[in-house]
Amino acid sequence: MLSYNDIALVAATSLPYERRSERSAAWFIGTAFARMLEATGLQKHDIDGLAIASFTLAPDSVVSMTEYLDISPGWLEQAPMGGAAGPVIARRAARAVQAGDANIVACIGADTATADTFVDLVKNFSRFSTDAVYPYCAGGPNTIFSMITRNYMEKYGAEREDFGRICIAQRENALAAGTAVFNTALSMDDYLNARPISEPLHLFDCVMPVAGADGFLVMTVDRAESLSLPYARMLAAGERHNAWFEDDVHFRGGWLLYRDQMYEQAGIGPGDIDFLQTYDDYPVISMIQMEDLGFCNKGAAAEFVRTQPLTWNGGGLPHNTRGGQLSAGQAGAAGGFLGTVETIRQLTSTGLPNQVAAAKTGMASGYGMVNYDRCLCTSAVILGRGSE
Amino acid sequence: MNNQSGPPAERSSLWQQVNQAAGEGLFKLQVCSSCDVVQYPPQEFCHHCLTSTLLWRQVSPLGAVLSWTTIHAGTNRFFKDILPLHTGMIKLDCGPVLIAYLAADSLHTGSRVRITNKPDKSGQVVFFAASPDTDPAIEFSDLLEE
Repeated sequence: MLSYNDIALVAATSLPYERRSERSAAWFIGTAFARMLEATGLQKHDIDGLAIASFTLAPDSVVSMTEYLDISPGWLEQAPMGGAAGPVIARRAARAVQAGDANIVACIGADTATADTFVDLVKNFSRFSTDAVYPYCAGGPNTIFSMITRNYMEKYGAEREDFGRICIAQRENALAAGTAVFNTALSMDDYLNARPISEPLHLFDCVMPVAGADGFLVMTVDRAESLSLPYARMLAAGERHNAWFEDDVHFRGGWLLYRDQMYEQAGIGPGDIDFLQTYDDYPVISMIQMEDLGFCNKGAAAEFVRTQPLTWNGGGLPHNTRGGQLSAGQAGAAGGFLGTVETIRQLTSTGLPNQVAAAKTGMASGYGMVNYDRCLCTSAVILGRGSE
Repeated sequence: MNNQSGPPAERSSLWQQVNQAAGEGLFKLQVCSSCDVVQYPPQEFCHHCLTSTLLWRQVSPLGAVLSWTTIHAGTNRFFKDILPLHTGMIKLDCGPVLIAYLAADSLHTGSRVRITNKPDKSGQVVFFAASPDTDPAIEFSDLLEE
């Protein structure tokens, strides 16, 4: 496979998440776009590619955004992969830049959150969901993922405390970063005694829908260097959709099918990854990613989180170093960008309040689109620190 | 706006076949006339051999619980006074995985269950899974069409 390592990811951008917003998704996209120009000193017309992921932009699309932004790109992309969209779009944009179809691609995930957006989204998420899942208590994705969680607990002996360890460490990370919607410490008692939502899931296992945007720019390493922009280098990327459809209950994802190729492409192994950003719609899904991306054996993630500190400064495997969605909330498709953006931020900064010491290499993975009884999309990137 | 005076009523057009079978007192799912695969949820072509020659046929309503949950919170106000309710993922003996309301007598992975199909208060059919000798109509009477 063609290498990605002449590709730079630049200008990690996050708008502060809001519990509710009356602004449209287009405002969040446009504002994130403006922040990227501000951060890099680039002009609107320098951006000749635009890639968007959003659930709430409809009836508009990435096409409408070109008119709102008054730009004329030669390359457009919109990825309906939800929580997997960040790494997927990074990968698409990288190939477009390598092919010369675009020079600088702005990649943005953004969604708004009014009183109705979340209900409208889960109600009409897919045809299978409308027919065969939503009618049962209108529970949304919690219904499916509570059953995936119970199956995982019974199959591998994971306990609620193990999920709690992930949530508590992430909250510590969020408090260090100072960015979370939930901005108080979480104790194991708080976690275990929280109200049930869809058992075995309780309040702190579930993400809160919020509004926000996350994004980055993709260009060649040569261009980033000539513009004197701090960058993260793309070392590897992969995606796979509807993997393991023969499994009756979801317990493994598409990552298993390309992780070895990614490590080979990056020339490293999981032991060389300094921090990991998983897609944390539910803690069990973070565990599945730890396993499928090679940080521990299948079924061993509960034991892994019992022994490995997951905080940004704990000396173990720093995980979801800005607190993830379980602390920040889930800003729709921006949630699919969160891990990639935090990876770029860690690798292009030195003085973050949650800076992982001496981090040279990070991994971000994505997971999205619960069409019926599991999410179908998986994706991942490995990024390295650019020039010192 | 969301009409929340009853449970969700939206379904695809194919769901009318599910409603019709329940009206006849039968449990029918899509069966492919080319490769015999039984599929659920319904779609317009066979996911296995991709032909469009699907028939709605009577299949075995027996299966086993793969996993289950107790739902305490949802996005539709209708359920507010009825929750908590249990749902399960059921592996049907004839192949597909089906999500159904799950009776209190079957809250164990591996429990053998029989599926019944009845309209809820939206008028659309939903599925109930219970021990083969139990009638779930009493336990779930708050949900059922009068």
